[in-house]
Amino acid sequence: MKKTITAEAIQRYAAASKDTAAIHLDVEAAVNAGYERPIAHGMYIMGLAQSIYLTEHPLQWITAYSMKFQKALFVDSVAIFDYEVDDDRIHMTVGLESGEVIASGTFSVKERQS
Amino acid sequence: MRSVQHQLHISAEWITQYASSIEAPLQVMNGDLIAPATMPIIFWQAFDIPWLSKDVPFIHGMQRFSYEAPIIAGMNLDCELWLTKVEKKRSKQGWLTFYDHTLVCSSDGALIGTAETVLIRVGDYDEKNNNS
Repeated sequence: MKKTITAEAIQRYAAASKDTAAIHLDVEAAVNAGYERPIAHGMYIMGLAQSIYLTEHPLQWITAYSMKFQKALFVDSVAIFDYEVDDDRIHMTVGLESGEVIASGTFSVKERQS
Repeated sequence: MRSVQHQLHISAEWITQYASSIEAPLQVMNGDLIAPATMPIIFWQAFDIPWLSKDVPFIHGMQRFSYEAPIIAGMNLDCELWLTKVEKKRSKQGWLTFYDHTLVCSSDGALIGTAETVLIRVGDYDEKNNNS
């Protein structure tokens, strides 16, 4: 699934998480830190990855989840979320249309009783 | 190893607000609203963490969550955040400092879940200035 990472979404996540580091919100601060523009929070990417999966699989809950962050994801980028299901384990990659991998991880799921 | 502790009340409002920020569907288990698996990372906002300078940006290197039971609305969690390792490495970008953390959360004495977090600081730095 493709998703554009907007500045508005990053601002919403910053407010909820209280992680208001300037590299996520301010162009000048991001450039001073060596980035071409503000970058998404790693934990926003990780959270979004679980949300996309659970929206498609609403009867499951996540019992374990790990992710390695490999590259920065710039605001206004289009991220591609790929999932490979292996029984109750899901391998997941977040990448760009160029093929670059931003993050990769695995989560385990169980069926939940509502 | 150093650690800080905090008791947190998990309200339905807090879960809903966090879920909205990551576009997560709200999930119910046995009639209780459950927190998204990644929510413990925002528990850090409740801690005063003396070994992390607020003036310095950190990059997230790795994150892991593991649950014995879901975090549910109305739960009171006893959480302890440990700094388990600090390691400096030289890279093409200069010095990198890796801060390994473990967050352990229990409710009524029963383990609910753990989270491991590696934060990376880029650049050389004087640790004495960040341990006030």
